[in-house]
Parts: sequence; structure tokens; C-alpha cells
Amino acid sequence: MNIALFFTIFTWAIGGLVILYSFSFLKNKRNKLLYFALYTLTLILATAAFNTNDLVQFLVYWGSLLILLYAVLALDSFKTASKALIIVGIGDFCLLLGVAFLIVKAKTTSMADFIPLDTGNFINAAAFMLIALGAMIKAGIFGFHEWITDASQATPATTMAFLPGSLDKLLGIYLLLRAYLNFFTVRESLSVIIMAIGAFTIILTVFMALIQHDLKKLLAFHAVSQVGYMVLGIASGTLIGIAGGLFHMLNNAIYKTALFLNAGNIEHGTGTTELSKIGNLGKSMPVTFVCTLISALAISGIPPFNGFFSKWMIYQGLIPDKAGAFGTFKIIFLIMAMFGSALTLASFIKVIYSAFLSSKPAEQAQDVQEAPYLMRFAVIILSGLCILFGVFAYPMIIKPFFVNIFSSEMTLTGLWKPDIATGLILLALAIGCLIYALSRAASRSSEVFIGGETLKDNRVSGTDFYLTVQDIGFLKFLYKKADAGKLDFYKTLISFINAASYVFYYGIDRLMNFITNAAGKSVFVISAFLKSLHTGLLDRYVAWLLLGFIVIIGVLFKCLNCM
Amino acid sequence: MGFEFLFRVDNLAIFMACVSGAVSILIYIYSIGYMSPYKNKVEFFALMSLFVASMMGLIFSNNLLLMYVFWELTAFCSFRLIGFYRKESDLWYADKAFLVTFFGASIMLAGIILIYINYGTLNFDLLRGTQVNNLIFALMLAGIFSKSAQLPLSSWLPDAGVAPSPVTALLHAAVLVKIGVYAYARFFSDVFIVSRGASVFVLGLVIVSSLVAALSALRENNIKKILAYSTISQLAYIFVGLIINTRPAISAALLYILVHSIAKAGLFLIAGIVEQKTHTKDLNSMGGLLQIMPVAAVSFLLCAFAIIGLPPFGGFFSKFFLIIAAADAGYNFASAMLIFTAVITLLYLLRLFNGIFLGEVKTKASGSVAITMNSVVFICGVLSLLIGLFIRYPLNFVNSVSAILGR
Repeated sequence: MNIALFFTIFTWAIGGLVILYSFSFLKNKRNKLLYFALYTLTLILATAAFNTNDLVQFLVYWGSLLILLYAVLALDSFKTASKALIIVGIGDFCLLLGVAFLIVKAKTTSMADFIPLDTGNFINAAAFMLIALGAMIKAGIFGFHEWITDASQATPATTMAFLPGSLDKLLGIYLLLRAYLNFFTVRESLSVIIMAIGAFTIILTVFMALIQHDLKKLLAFHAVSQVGYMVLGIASGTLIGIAGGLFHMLNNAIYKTALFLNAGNIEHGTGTTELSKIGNLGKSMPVTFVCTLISALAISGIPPFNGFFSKWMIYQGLIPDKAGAFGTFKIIFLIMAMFGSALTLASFIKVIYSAFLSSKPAEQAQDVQEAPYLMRFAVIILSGLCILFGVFAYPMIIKPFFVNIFSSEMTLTGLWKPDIATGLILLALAIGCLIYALSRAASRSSEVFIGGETLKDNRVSGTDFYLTVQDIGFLKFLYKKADAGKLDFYKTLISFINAASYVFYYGIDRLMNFITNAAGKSVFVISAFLKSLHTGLLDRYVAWLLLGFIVIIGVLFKCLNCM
Repeated sequence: MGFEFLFRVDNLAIFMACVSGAVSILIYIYSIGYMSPYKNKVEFFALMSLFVASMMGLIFSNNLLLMYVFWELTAFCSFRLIGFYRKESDLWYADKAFLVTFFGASIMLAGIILIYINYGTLNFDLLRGTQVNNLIFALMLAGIFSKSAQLPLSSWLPDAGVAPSPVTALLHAAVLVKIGVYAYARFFSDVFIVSRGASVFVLGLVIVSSLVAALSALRENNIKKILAYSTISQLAYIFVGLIINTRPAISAALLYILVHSIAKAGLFLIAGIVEQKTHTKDLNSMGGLLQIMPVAAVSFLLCAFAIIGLPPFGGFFSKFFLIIAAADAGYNFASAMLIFTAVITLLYLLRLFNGIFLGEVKTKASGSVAITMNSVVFICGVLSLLIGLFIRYPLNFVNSVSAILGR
């Protein structure tokens, strides 16, 4: 059992479910065959990338996936596809340079033969940072995330679930894991930078997610935010942290796919994912409701679901075992990650309320249908996995996979025993219900007294839950900057390149052009002057001849005198 | 004496002849469709043939003077072909191209004379392995840089876009600018030895050239000028490989010649289709052609991916091997700059694609595209992909060439 097999199994499991779901979801698309072809090709190439042992081949598969990403997105919107190509392309070129440095230093391209390089010297450190950057951009970190949120508006839910939701994470984290386990022994000082990127990704994007009012866009921000946990876990460098990051990647792939597919169900039923335009779906779409609830609790890290288990492992990995140089930073990152988790829950409370519990908005159709059989099947399986991997995390994932991958037994301090805890939770719930039933508590419901006035529409849509958050001092600043695109590193880079292009174009290229033109034109000026001497009159030519003759005679005489 | 009328066939010459010849044939086929509405077709095809013939003569020359003769012959052909439409404004650009390349070539002639004075022969076989001083290196380089349009002699190439599109494709892909690259490989990888200090200086020059051209392509709005800047920028990559002059670097550079020739020919020929159908070269006044010419759009993307260097296209391998060779030879900063330029390449080629093929339709495209034209651009696109998928075969080819070169 090795790392490639782990990735292959879950890539095909999740990818297969998405494709199964697409059979029903994309039924009415004009070019649905292209979708299936590209999805399948993506799965095949991703498998190849996970299983190859040669770095150059890996780069080829990895880069080909970018072309496929462009193609898949271009089926719906070339604008988003271009943006993705540029952003992920920047990451791929960083990776290419990093791998070039790595191959030169390691003198081999076979991953099995790698002796981990120490990141002490500059080139090794640069190689590591470039590879890590390439991996993180692929997975989608803050600053390079804009294409994901754009794509959520332009592409169908299956594409979102498939690529930015799950597969890109698997790929990016796979590479980061390789960099940590295989290629480098990373110094703490570099890891702290990676961890900081992870922590800020969590906190900044979750704030952005909080105020979104479109379900798919909100999920897209969470797709970015969750990468922060994985990066944080792997960069912690401790065994338990790395395992936690890897497990979180798997869990995220499961519940994020489930969430996007549930959003697809809602879109299928109501024709929109705009939260203010939907409501009261809990009654008409019970399966979707329950599955969304489960995956929302999982992503928020509520025990006993899988998201809690992996987050718990990451948190443990972050707690410094001895007071190292960067212990304080780690504690700060830990607090940021926990706070991010709370905000995730907050934003999903909004989703659950707006979509499923609030009263029906006027524009929603009367008879919203539950999603078709295949679509329900996919989300049920995924939600089931959320529970299974949460409750039976140790026997199902840690023991068969991780103990082999890391070739060491996982000894956790303060290990969360999910099976016993789940039993206790269920027991408590049962006792609570029992007490409620036995006590025969009286309940009464009555009309709201409004003094005889007629109320028209007192519907509360959940979309405005956190509007006040936007007015808090620091956050106000953040949102303003985000609106202006100032927080987007990618945009900063593009404007830097644009500024540079003005300088170089006018400063060098146009200048050289001017000089060349001036020199070229001067040839014509000189030849025009010479031409003007050729008048065609005999006396002029005779005069020139005489003049030349005199000069030659003069020179000859001078030479004679010299001798 | 060393003035013999001597030709010699070796792997480098075969490689260049194959690449130039193959791309030229594709461009010829395209020209049948493209030139059909214009006058003076006999002159056009005669000059094109003379152009390719003198290229072949140059490639197989085993004598500096003979090479120089063919060198000037190509300059003459390009001069006539750039000014082919005989428009008053075009003639200046034709003159400019001729003046700049002739200026460079005459400086190179001084270098050739110096070589003759110092070593008493111009025969490559007798000269092979001689160490030339920096003055001769600089003089020869002037000729090479003027042909291959590197800074500071680059500005004629974007202006040469006024020529008919098959001609620009020929200039950029198969013949004219590749002469400089070939000459560099012949002179300084095969025959002469130059000092390391001088070549590092030249390395800096081509990298600046590459960066400036790539950034200029972002500012330019004329589609053919954008592609011309792209050529300048990409040629610098080839020069980097040749300047580093290790066997892997030369292999990468030769692979780059192959990939760039095919993909850039494709891009220029597509630009020709676009120009002929929309009657404009201005990026801002076109758009939405994806629906009207889907074959051209797909071919454009394939060629563009090859130029950008995304896997699995051939351009990826040439770029990647080049970067590895550069890093291996210790030029870490150079390889970082090349990657930065690659990112800019991605930006401007995507901007070009989006500008031409996406967005709203601004011009009325008239008539259908001739089958010869469409099929040639499609072949260029598919070849760019196939080179990458079956990289083993071209790689074997270039390795057999670099085995006789490099140090």
C-alpha cells in the first residue's frame, strides 16, 4: 500500500461519483459528450500523475491537466478559462523552474532514488519554495483563487465539484506532500512561511465566504479556505500534522464534492443557487437537505464527522512539542485555524437556514421536485462517507493507509475516540428524546398578534445574516480592499507586468526603433545629396575630373617631396 | 586559397534543411490559396523559391565567403518580398529590413576579412577548432543579430509584417531569422571557439532582448507585430541554448528551432487568414471569429500552447530541457528570467487569442477560407501536438546533431 494507490483509489471513487451524477445532471447540455470525454481524460491523466515515478513525466501529466482544465472551463466560459490558464499557468511555470533546480541538484529524475535535499542553501530553498508555490496555486490558495470563484458562477456544479472542489486539491496536496516527504528536508524557517500562507488563506477567504449570497460562490470560497488547513497540516512538519493534512484533503474532497453536488440538486430543482431566491426546500427536497446538513457539519469540523477528525489531527500537529523558535507562530496559526472553523460553521448556518428552513420566496416555483435518482444516489454515498470516515477513521483510513505511507504507527496524544464518542452522542440524543416523550411536555402554537394590521411579506431571507460584519473596522478595510482587487496577488503581478511593459516598450523598444529609423533615413539623405551632384551636365563632370586630377597631382608631389 | 565553391553535408545542415524545407513546403501549399486574388504571382513564387534555395545554399556552404553570398541573396529576396504589395508606405519597411540586415552583414564581412587575414583560409574544415578573439566574435555577431532580430538590431522585424502573410511566415519560421541562429550554431558551436566572458555578455544581451520583446508584445495592437515580437523573444531562447554550448543545451536549442518553426508558421498563417477575411490587423477592431473560423481558432490554440511551452506540446520539452541545461551550467538567474518571460508569453498569446476569436463580432468576415489554407494551419497545430506526444523521435534526431557539436 503506497501513497500513489491511496490517491488513485479516492480520485476514481470521487471522480466516478461525479461522472455518475453528471449522467443525470448534464442530460440536457448540448455538448455533454465533450464534458464526459474531458472528465474521463482528466481522471486518467491524474492517475498517471499520481503513479509515475519520473519527475519529467509527472510534469507532463501535471501540465496536461492544465490544458484539460482550460478545455473544461472553456466549454462554458472562455473568460474564466483564460483566467484559470493564466493563474494556474503561473504556478506551473514556478513548478517547472523548481523542478529544474531540483533535478540539477539531485542529479536524477527518478523519484524513488531521491535523497532529500537540505533547504539550507539558496538554490535548494528556492527550488522548494517554487515547487510548494506551484502545488499550492494548483490547490488554490488565497491570492490565486479568483478563477475558482469566477468559475463557480460560470460552470455547472459538476465541473466545480470535480476540478476545483476535489481533483485540484488532490493534485496540489500530493505534490506538497512529495516535496515534504521525498524531495526536501525542510527547515523550520521556510515551513513557517508556508504555514502563514495556509493560515491566512483560511481566515481571509472564510471572511469572504461569510458575506456571499450565491451558494456556489460561497462554496467556492470555502474550497479555497479549506486548502489552508491542508497546507497548515503538512507544513507543520510533524508526522501527525502531515497525516492530518492528507486526511483533511481526502475529507475535503468528499464533503466539498457533496456540497457542490447538493448545490447542483438545488439548481436542478429551482433553477438558481442564489440564496435570496430560494427557501423552504427542506420539505420538498428532504434528501438534499439531510445530505447538505451532514456535509456542512463535516466541513465545519463538528464531531463526529470526518472534518473534525482531520482538523483535530492538524491542530495536534501544530502544538509545538518543545518551545522552538517558531512556537509562538504555530500557536497563532492554531488559533487562526480554529477561528476559521467557527466562521465556517457560521456561514453554513446561513446556508442551511436560507435554503432549507426559511419560508418560500415569491419567485420560487410551487412544486420543487427532489433531484432524480442518480443525483440523490451520489450525494447520499458522499454524505455516508462523511459519517463513516468520521466515526471509523482509524480502522478505515489511518490503519490501512497511513501506517503504511508513513511507515510508522500513529500515536496520537489525546486521541479522539470517535466510535465511543459517537455512541455516547447517540445515547444522549436517545435519552433526550425519551425524556421529552415521557414528560409529555405541553406545547402551544398561536398566531402572532399584530393588532389587526395585515402583514404582507415578513419573510426573512438568510442572506443578510452577516451584513453587519462588513462594518467592523478591520473587516471593513478588508472587504474594501477585496472589492478593489487589492488582495489578489495575481492581479498585482499582472499590473506589475503591465507597468514593466510600458517602461520597456517605450524606454527600449521604441527608442531603438527611433534610432534605427533615423539611421536608415539618413542613408536616403546622404544618397539624395550625392544624387544632386549628378546633374548630367558635361561641364560639371569635367570640373569634377579636373578637381580630382589636381588632388592626385598634389598628393603625388607631396610624396615625392617626402622621399 | 580557401575560396573554393564547397558544400558539405553534416547532421546540423541536414537538420536545418529538413526543418526549413518542411515548413517551406507547408507555406507554399498555403500560398496557393492565399495569393490567388493578387497580381504578380509568378514573381511571388519565383522569389519564394529563390529565397528557400539560397537558404539551402547557406546551410550546406562549407566556406565563409560562399555563406556570405547566400546570406546577401536571402536579404535581397526578403527585401523584394516585404515590399511585394508595392504600397508606398510598405517600401520603407522593405528598405529598413534590407538596410539593417545589410548593415549587420557588412560588419560581418569585416569579421570574415579579419579571419582570412589571421588564419589564411575561409574553409570551415581548416578553421575548425580555432579560438577567435572577441573583436571577430563581435563583428560576426552583428551580422547574426541583425538577421535574427535581437537587440539592438531588432526593430525591422515587427515592421516587416506588411509583407503578404506567407512571406512573414517564411521569414519568421523557416528561413530568414533562423539563418542567424543556424550561423551562430555553425560558427560558435561547430567551427570557432569563443571566450566564456564574451559569451556570458551575449547571454545577458539576448535575455534582455527576450524580455523587452515579450513586454512589447503586450503593448502592441497589430496582430502580426505581436507575433513578430514573439519571434524575437523566442529566438532569444534558442540563442541561450547555443550560447551555453553544452550538449544538452544545444539539443534543447535545436528542438526549440523545430517546435518554433512549425508553431510560429501556423500562427502567422492563421493571422493571414484572419487578415484576409476581416481586412484589418488591428486587435481592437476584431473579435468573435471563433464561430466563423473554428478550425483556425483550434489550430491557433494548439500552436500557441506549443509556443508558450505547456505540456504535452513540443514547446514544453524544448523549454524544459533548455531550463535544465541552463541551471546545470550554473546560469540560475538566466533560467529564472526565461521562466518569467514564459509567463509573459502566456499573457500576450492568450490576449491575442481572446482578442481575435472571442468577444463580440466587430467586423464582417467575408467568404469562406480556402481548403489549402485551413488544412495547412490545422497540420501545423496537429504537428505541434504530435512532436510533444512522440518527443522521442525528434529528440533522437537533435541528439544526433548535438553529438557532433558542443563541448
